[in-house]
Order: sequence, then structure tokens, then C-alpha cells
Amino acid sequence: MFHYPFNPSELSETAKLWWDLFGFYLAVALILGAVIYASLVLIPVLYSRSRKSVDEIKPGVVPGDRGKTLYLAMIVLLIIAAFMSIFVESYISVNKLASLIEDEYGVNVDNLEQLQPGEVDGALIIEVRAFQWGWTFIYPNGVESDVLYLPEDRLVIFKVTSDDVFHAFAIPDLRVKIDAIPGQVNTSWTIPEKPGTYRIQCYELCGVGHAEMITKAVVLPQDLFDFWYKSMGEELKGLEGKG
Amino acid sequence: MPFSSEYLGSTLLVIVALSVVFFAAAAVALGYYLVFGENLAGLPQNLYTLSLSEYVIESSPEPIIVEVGKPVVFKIVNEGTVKHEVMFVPNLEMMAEMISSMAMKLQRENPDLSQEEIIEQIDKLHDTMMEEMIEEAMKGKAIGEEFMIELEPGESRVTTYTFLEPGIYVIACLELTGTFPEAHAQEGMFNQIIVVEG
Amino acid sequence: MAHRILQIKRWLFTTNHKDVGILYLVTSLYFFIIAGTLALLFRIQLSVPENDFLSAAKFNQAVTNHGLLMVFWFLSPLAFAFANYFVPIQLGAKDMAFPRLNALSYWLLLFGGLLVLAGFFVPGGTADFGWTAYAPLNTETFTPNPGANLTAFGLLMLIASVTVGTVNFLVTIFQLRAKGYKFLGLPMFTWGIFFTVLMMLWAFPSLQAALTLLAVDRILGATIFEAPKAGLIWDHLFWFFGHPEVYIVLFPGLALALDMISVFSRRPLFGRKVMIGALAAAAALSFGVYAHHMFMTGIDLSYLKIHMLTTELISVPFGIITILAIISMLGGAIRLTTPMLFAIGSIAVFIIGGFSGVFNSNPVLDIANRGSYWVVAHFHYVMVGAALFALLGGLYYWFPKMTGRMYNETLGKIHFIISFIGFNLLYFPMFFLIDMPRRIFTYPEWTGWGPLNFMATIGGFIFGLSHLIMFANLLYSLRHGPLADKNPWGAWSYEWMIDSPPSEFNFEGIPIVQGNRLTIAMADGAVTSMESHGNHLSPWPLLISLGPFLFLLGLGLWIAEAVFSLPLMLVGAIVFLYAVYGWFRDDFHERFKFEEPPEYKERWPFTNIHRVKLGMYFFLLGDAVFFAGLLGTYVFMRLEAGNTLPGLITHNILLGLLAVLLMLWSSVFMYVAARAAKLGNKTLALAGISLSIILALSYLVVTGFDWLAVFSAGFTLSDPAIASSATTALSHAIHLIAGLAVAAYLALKVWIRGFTGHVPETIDSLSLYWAFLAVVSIAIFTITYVF
Ligand code: HEM
Ligand SMILES: [Cu+2]
Ligand SMILES: [Cu+2]
Ligand SMILES: [Cu+2]
Repeated sequence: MFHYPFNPSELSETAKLWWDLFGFYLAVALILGAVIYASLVLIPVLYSRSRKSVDEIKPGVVPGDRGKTLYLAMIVLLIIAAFMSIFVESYISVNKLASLIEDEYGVNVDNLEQLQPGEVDGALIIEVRAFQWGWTFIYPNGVESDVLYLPEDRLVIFKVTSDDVFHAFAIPDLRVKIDAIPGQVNTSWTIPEKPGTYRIQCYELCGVGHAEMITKAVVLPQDLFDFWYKSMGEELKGLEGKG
Repeated sequence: MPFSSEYLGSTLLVIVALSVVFFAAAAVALGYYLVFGENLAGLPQNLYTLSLSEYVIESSPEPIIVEVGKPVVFKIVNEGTVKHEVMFVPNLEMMAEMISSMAMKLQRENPDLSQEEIIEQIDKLHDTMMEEMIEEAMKGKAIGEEFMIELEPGESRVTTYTFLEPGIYVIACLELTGTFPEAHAQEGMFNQIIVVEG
Repeated sequence: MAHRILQIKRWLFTTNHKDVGILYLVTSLYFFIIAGTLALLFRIQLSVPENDFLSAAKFNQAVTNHGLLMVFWFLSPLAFAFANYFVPIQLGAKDMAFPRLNALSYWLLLFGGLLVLAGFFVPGGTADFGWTAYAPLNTETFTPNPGANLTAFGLLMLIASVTVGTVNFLVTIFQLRAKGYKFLGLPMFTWGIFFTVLMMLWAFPSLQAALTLLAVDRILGATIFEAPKAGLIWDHLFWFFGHPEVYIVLFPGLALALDMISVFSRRPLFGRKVMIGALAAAAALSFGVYAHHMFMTGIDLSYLKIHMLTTELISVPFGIITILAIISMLGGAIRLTTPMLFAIGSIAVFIIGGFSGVFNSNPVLDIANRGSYWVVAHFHYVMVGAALFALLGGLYYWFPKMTGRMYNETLGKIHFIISFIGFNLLYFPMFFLIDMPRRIFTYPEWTGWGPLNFMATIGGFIFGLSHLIMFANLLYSLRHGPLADKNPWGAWSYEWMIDSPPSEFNFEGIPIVQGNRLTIAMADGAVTSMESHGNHLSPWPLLISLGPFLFLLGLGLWIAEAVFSLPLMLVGAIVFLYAVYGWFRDDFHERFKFEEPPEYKERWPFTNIHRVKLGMYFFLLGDAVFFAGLLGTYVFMRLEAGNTLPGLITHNILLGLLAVLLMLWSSVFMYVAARAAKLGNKTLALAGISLSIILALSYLVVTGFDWLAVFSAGFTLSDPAIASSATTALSHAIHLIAGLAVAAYLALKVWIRGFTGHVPETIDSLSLYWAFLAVVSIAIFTITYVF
């Protein structure tokens, strides 16, 4: 079932999206970068003054424009083509972020923040509250926790908000990140795919406690998560009954 | 004129070139490191410290990832104020339910018994009955001295396991003190051991 | 001794663009040292996990002020040191269009920076919310540190400096080119500055709006930024400014690198016009990409997609420039002098910075990048790498021109290589730290970030200390370097055709461009009216900036409840008023005259507009953004920030309407005065100005009554809509009051001395200003009274 090492792109659905894209960008950057760097270094070496005696700069004479229109147009077009490929890729990926869950779960991503628990089959909706300096995770059954427990292989939707200043809720390994803004509910989603413990941290400067806004996300196999979820919920009911 | 500044210029350019090559290499390394590098969620280790307290089993480092066939040492410390245990549980939900329903049944049947006395009784049952069940369940999956370790406050133990099959192994504490009639596990006192193939 | 004093007086009172340039240079390097020291301090803190060299509070203050000082008081001023010194010369001008305003911009900048530094010495600490100062963290509630007020004041003084400087440069570039000098023939550096100031013109007012609102929050006790979602309006205002700002920092350096590449490879640039076009495109686009800093704020998906598109589009012009710069070297005879090495190094790191920027432009990739050390690496590659390397190259390039002496080439190259290696050792590892959040003061060991951070710290020290080589080299050469030629690099532009260092008015004759030849025609007496040294000195720019400095320092201390604060404020106010009086008095006696005869100047396309009026046009173009920002905030508050009431309910519509009418009529009369002044009709002009003044005063009174009614009806500044519209009204009133002071002065001057000097043109500009204020009052009415 498990092979080590886990490929970081296997940790979650969103991580997979991210790594595929990153690979694409990196490939484009490395290919273009190699050509550009090679010329940036080779040209000064090959054309150093000791080898040639060109002098087209004359004091007091405005240098003219140089370059055949054809060449210039080609360079411009080439760069625009590179841009187009990047842009198309970005456009597709941004849409994918929405369509991935739209298609599979029938969620309308445009108003995720209005989603109520239970509205989407199989999805777990968790409310995330950021405050100076910590996190509270609130589950549909009312359980509140400062450690985030997540089920494996299930759509998790985070509804993120803040009690005081801007924070940013992030589970970097799962490629989840969204700002926590007072007075506003932002949403983000992922489908965790590997059990384990992951770092949760704040990514927006929020005061002196910023560095300590660390906690953990524990991804559990479904049955174990259910056990936790149910027993914590019953615990809560018990308390309410007594109180 | 080897030290003229003209000469120095080209020499330095070569250095720049080298450093640029270094960057190209570093960029490739970046890609490699990020894509194929160590699992960001943790590395398999061969030593873990489990600290028990009310009501968590915390491991350091986290998460617990172990390779199949490699012995792993657990140093277990009870840092809490009541008795805790680390027990391998094949089906946590069932076990926990069993324990707590047993507790409730005892309480119903013997209303004159105090909580402590009931817990004591269950402890005994649990020790004898569960021990066998677990031994049975773990057979062929893992090798180790005992799969149920009970620790008084402040007590600690070092023990070694070798897992034979990949998968998730759940460890939990099914003591009742403080959470009666529920088990500690129901308060979140459990953890997972992720066993992977090398 | 007397000589000494004269020297000191010269530097304090100078208005000569070259002296001001030197002042900028020294000041920026001074702030470089301070901000650099802060950086080394927090790099030490980060070098190993769980370090406790700096506390969280100290760390945050260090990071914040490092960012602010580096961006606002080092990089830009360094670029503007060169711009002040060389842009007029490259144009063929004898000075800036407004020399005194030029000095004013410098002093405002210096005192602004000193205010920020003073924040460190206020008990309770200074700003610690990051250079982006996100709301509501920047409010009193979450950052009570009294020093933070001084930071906000310092930034406001900086904005004043930038505004004045921007207008000055635009007018200079448009109207002081040598006769026959076509725009396209200007050196790339001047082009770079031209686009830079254009961006500054529209970017800074947005920051000004944000800071004004913040000041109202922090000082008048409003709670604009604490309203629900209100932090987002800060984001919009800040990044509308912030993204152009990063290009503002980059452009001068990038353009300068292009010039150096051309000179040292002895070939004209390949596709020079295309590059200029690319710069123009990037400058224009820079205002439409800013939401890429807000990808994670949950903004509207279609808005996000547009900004993704534009961000990726903006990498096209930069790609073009980079590639053309490299191709320009092809077939040349390249001389790898220190400036050239820096230019090539700048391009080399710009490529990495640019590529990493493209990664950030994708909102999906930005899930990991945002707020992480990856972004830190990205922007240091572009800002520090590309911009700073080029500017340091410029320092070497122009050193012989500014001092008349040559620096030591070998040491220069050693400086380059060490700083280049140090720089990359410092920032490249940060790309690998893509998981590590920015601005955390420490991190746990188990994250595994230790080694890369350690590497970065080592690199930081190498990079930081490498500049000592430069300082030593340049300081030594200043005295003992071999004498330099007029044109040691064989470059072509105007600055290389004059003495090193240049004489006071740069040219001993009249610079004229014929075809593509730069020439200096011999003087025929027309220009000898250029006054002697003494006329170039004015104490007022210094004092006009010192006044607000003392006043704001006092105000900041007063809020911090420190001693001596009230006397300080008092002295500041007196100094300011006295200096304004002095400035007017000088003007009254026309003691300070500087204008190059228009017939020697190329003024296309503004051939017939007087420089004062042209300056006013530019100023107002920027100012419009300021009011748009404030009014936009009001609209945002009405729509998003919970329970706010429409202006129809809070305000008295009739009073508002009356006020607008008063303002309109006031502006009509000012226009009449301007026409009359042009025709030389003294009586009519005086009547127009006086009526205009009376109407404007009654506008202020009526608006004041309306606001009194609002407050006595129980509304307070804790209502974000009220507070933001009050801020708008207040800003408008302050504009009007400043205008009234000038109007009153002009009336007095016309009355006593008639239409001397530039009085008619000044009245004309003032009428333009009045018209603008009238339009703004209409906008204020339609938005804050009706909506
Ligand atoms: C090739 C062109 C460029 C592109 C596509 C680009 C893109 C971006 C993007 C998308 C971000 C936001 C990242 C985030 O915070 O999540 C960013 C941040 C930044 N960029 Fe660029 N950039 C480019 C060039 C530049 C240049 C030329 C400069 C400066 C001279 C610059 C300076 C910055 C700074 C300072 C930040 C971070 C601001 C902060 O959060 O404090 N960028 N860039
Ligand atoms: Cu934070
Ligand atoms: Cu226990
Ligand atoms: Cu930007």
C-alpha cells in the first residue's frame, strides 16, 4: 500500500495539481534560462575587446537604432509565444482548481463560503478561525480543536476567517493556503491522500506571535477519523447534557 | 601582463560564468530536491519517543513512519498524572465501545461499587482478555515483546518492534481513569504508526 | 574658517541639481548602511533554528524598517541621486526646471527618513507590521507602538518629496531639452527616469490615501481599518501603489545597465526603439497587475484571472529588454570594466528574478509561494540584484565625472565578484526555502530549515561587507585617484562632453542638437544672465522641511507622552511658517530667478505651456488618484463594511449642494482673474481673486457647519463610512487652505507690484488648481452625500 518515499505530489489532490504545474514551469524556465545564460556569458567572452575593434559609439553622436525589423519582430513574437504557452497553462490550472471538485462533487465553487455542512455528499466542511496567536478548527458536529484532524481520501472544505488581524491559513505540504481575513469567510479545499502529520502555519505577519502560529494537521485513515469524530462529538453532547 | 585589470576582467568573467553554471546546476537540483526529495511529511526513523499524558499520545518526531522489516525503538514515557497505556488496537472503535459498555454494564449491575473499584475490575479483565486478542491480531504483522504496555505516572519503558506488513497501525490508550465511563482513546488518546515499504 | 562655513552653507542651502544629487547620494548610502545593518542583525537571528539573538518584537521592527528604508530611502534615492545629477545634463539643461523645489524634495526625503529612524528611539518601539503594513495590524489597537506614528509621518513626508520631485522631473524632461533634441535620442537612463516618474506620479498618491486614512485612525481615533473586511481596502490601495513601486525601483537601474552595455560594447543598442516601447508597455501595465499580491485574499475569480493575465503579459516586455540587451553585445568590442561587469551581473540576476516572478503569476503555484521565502528570493533578485547591481555600476561609471578622478579598477572588480557571489549565496538558498514563511523570527529545528538559512546568513555577511571595499576604494580615490579624462569611457551623451566635475551651470555655451549631433554652441551673451553663485542658495527648502519634521516629531512624542513634545511642535510650526513667509518674500522681491530662455529649448509637445502650469497639470493628474483612492475607500466601506448609513441620511443635502455651488463660483472667479491677468487688467484680476477667496472661505464654513451637524447628530469617527468621507473632506479642505494662502499672497503681490515676473502664469495655474478642487468637490458631493 505505501511506498517510501512518498512523492510530495501524492500527499493531496491540490499538491498533485501544484507539482504538475511547477514541473512545467521549471522545465520552461530551465530551457529558456539555459539559452539566455549561455549567450549572456559567451558573448562577452567571445567579443571581448582584445579580439575585435568595433567602435560605433562616437562622442556627441546620438547612436542610431540598430536591428532589422524582421529580427526584432521574430524575437518579440517568440517571447509572446512563450508567454502564450504559460498563460494557457495558468488559465487551465486555475480552472482546474475549480472544476476538479465541481465535476466530482457537484460543488459550486463560486459560493463555497455559503455552503452548509451536509450540503455536499461526502465532503467535510471545517470552519477555521485564526486569532492572535493560534487556530481553532470547528467541525460540523460542534467539536472544537486546536489540532486539525482530517480524513484520508475525502473532500475537505475549509471556511477560513479571522477574529482580529490578517492571517494566512496554510498546510504547505498539502498545498493549501488562504488568507484569514476579519469579517470575511474565505474558502479553500483539498483531498488529503496520505495519512501522516503535517505542519500548519500562519503565512501572513500578524504580530509578535506570528512565528508561533504553528500547529499540526493529522490525516487519519477514514475509520480512525470517524472514530475520533464520533467520540469527540459524543463527548461534547455528554457535556452539554450535564451542563 | 598577467595582472592588468583588463586581464582580471576576463578572469572574473570566467568566474561569473562558473557561478552561472553553478546556478543552472542548483536550479536543476532545486527541481530534483523538490520533486524527488525526501518525503515532506517526514522520514522513516528508527527511534521514536512517545509521551503519554491526559489524553494524548504524542510522538517525537511526528508522524511515526517506519520501514517494513527494520526494527524500530520506542521510548515510552508516561508524563501524565494517571495510569496510561500504549496498546496496539486492530479496531479501535470496537474496542473502545466494548470497554465503555462493559464499564457501564458493571456500574448498572453493581450500583454500590465506586468508580475506582469498577475501573480496577475492568483493568483485570482487559489485561487478560485483550492481551490474548492483540497477540492474536498482531501475529504475522509485527514482532515485539509486548503489544500492551501499561505505565504508572512517571514510569517509562523502552521497547522494540519490527513490522512485517505495510499499513497503518493504531496505538491507543483504553484506560478509564478521568474519562469514565469512556476510554481515554475517545478523548483523542491514540496515534498512528505508518509502516511503509522501503 | 570662513571657507568652511561657506562650504557648510553651500550644502545646506544649495539648489544646484548636482549638489542636490550629491546630497541624495550621500543620504542614500547612509540609509543603506543602516538598513543593511538591520538586515545583518536579523540574518544572525535566523541563521540557526530556535535562536534568541533578537526577540520577536525586535525582529519584526528590524524587518519592517529594513524594508522601508531599503526601498524608500536607499534604492530610489540612489537612483534619484544620479537622476538629479545627470538627467539635466543629459538633456542639455543647466539645472532642473524648479531648482528650489528640487532642494525641497531632497530635504523632505531626508527628514522623512530621520522621522522613521527616530521611531526607534521612542519608548515602546517602532513600526513592526512589515513594510506592507497590512491593516488592521497597523492600527493602534494591534500595534500600539508609538514609534509607528513617526513611521507613518516619515512616509507622508517621503510622499511629499516624491510628488514635488516627480512634477519637477516631468517638466524638466518635457521643457528643458536642448534645442533640437528629439525624445527618441535621449539616453536610456533619462528614458528610464522618465517612465519612473510617470509611474511615481500615479502610484504614490494611492499610498498617500492609504496613509492618510491610517493617520486619521491612529491620531484622531477613527476605526476605519478595523471595520470588517476593511483590511482589503488597504491591500488594494497599497498594492495599486506597491506594484508600480517595484518597477519604480527597477527602471532607473535597468535603463542604466542598458546604457552601460551599449557604451562598453561599443555598439548602439539593438532595437533601441523596441526597448523604449517595452519600458513604456511595462510602465503602463504595472498599474493593472497588482492583484497578484492578493491571490490568496479570496478576491473575485474573474478579477484574479485578469490580473494573472496581465502579470504574465508584463513579463513579455521584460523578456524583450533582456534578450535585446544580450543581443546588443553581439559583434561588439566588449570591455569588461567594473561598470560593465555590474551591468552584466544585473542582467544575470534579473533573469532569475524575472523567471521566478512568472512562477508567482500563476495563482495555483502561488499557493505555495505566497508569503514564503520563495517570494523573498524573487523580489530580492529583482530589486537588490537587478536594480542595485546596475546602480552600483552607475556609481563607478559616473564616479570620474562627478569627482574628476578615477577609482581603482582592480578593487572595483574585486568588489563586483565578491558581492555577486555573496548575493547569490544569500538569496539563492531562499528559493529552496519555499516552505518557510516570511517574517517569522524563528523556526523549530525539526523543520530542517537550519542549514539553508545558515548559508544565507554567510552570504549576507559576504554581500554586506563586500561594499566596504567599494567605500574604501571610492573614498580613497576621491582624494588620491589619478585625474580622469573628460570622457574616459568614450561615451556619447552630453555629460561626457563637459568638464569633470562639471561647472556650476554645466555648459559653457548653449547646448543644441543638430540632426544626431550633440553640440555646445558658444555663448553669445544671451545666457550670461545666468546668475552668480549666491543666487543659487536658498535656506527655505531646508527650513520648510525642517518645520514639519520638528512638528511631526513633537506630535509623535506627544502621543507617546514624552517630554518636550509640545515645545517641539511649537518650534516646528514657527519654523515652517517663517520659512513659507521667507519663500514668499523671496518671490515677492523676485530674488530668485531661474529660467532658461525658451528659444534655446526643445519643448515639444508642450511648446506653449508655461512650466508652472505644466507642473500644475502633472501635479493634479497625480492628485486625482489620491482623491480617487479616498472616495473609493468610502464606497468600499458603504458596500462591504457592515452597517453604514448612506450620505443622504447622515448629511444635509442642501448644505452640501450649497457648498458645491460656492466652490464652483469660486473657481469661476479664479478663472476670470487668470484671464484678466493675462490681459493685464489689474482691477479685474484683483476683484476675481478676492471674490474667489471669499467664496472659497464660505465653502469651508458651510462644509464645516454640515460636518458639525453630522457630529452633533451622534455620528462619530468610529463609523468607517463617516470616517472615510471625513478624511476626504478634510484632505480637500487642506488643499483649499494651501491654495488660499497662495491666492492671498498673489493678490497682495498684484496689488503692490502689478504683474511682474511670472505672476500671470501663476494665477493661471492657480485657476487650474481651483477648477480641480471644484471638480473634486462635485465628486465628493455625488459620492459621499448621495450614495
Ligand atoms: C517578470 C516580471 C515579474 C513578474 C511576473 C512578477 C510577479 C510577482 C508576483 C506574482 C508577486 C506576488 C507574489 C506573492 O506575494 O505571492 C511578486 C512579488 C513581488 N515582486 Fe515581482 N514580478 C516581476 C518583476 C518584479 C520586479 C521587476 C520587481 C522589483 C524591482 C519585483 C518586486 C516584487 C516584490 C517586492 C514582491 C513582493 C512584495 C511583498 O510581498 O512584499 N517583481 N512578483
Ligand atoms: Cu501570522
Ligand atoms: Cu490514557
Ligand atoms: Cu507585483
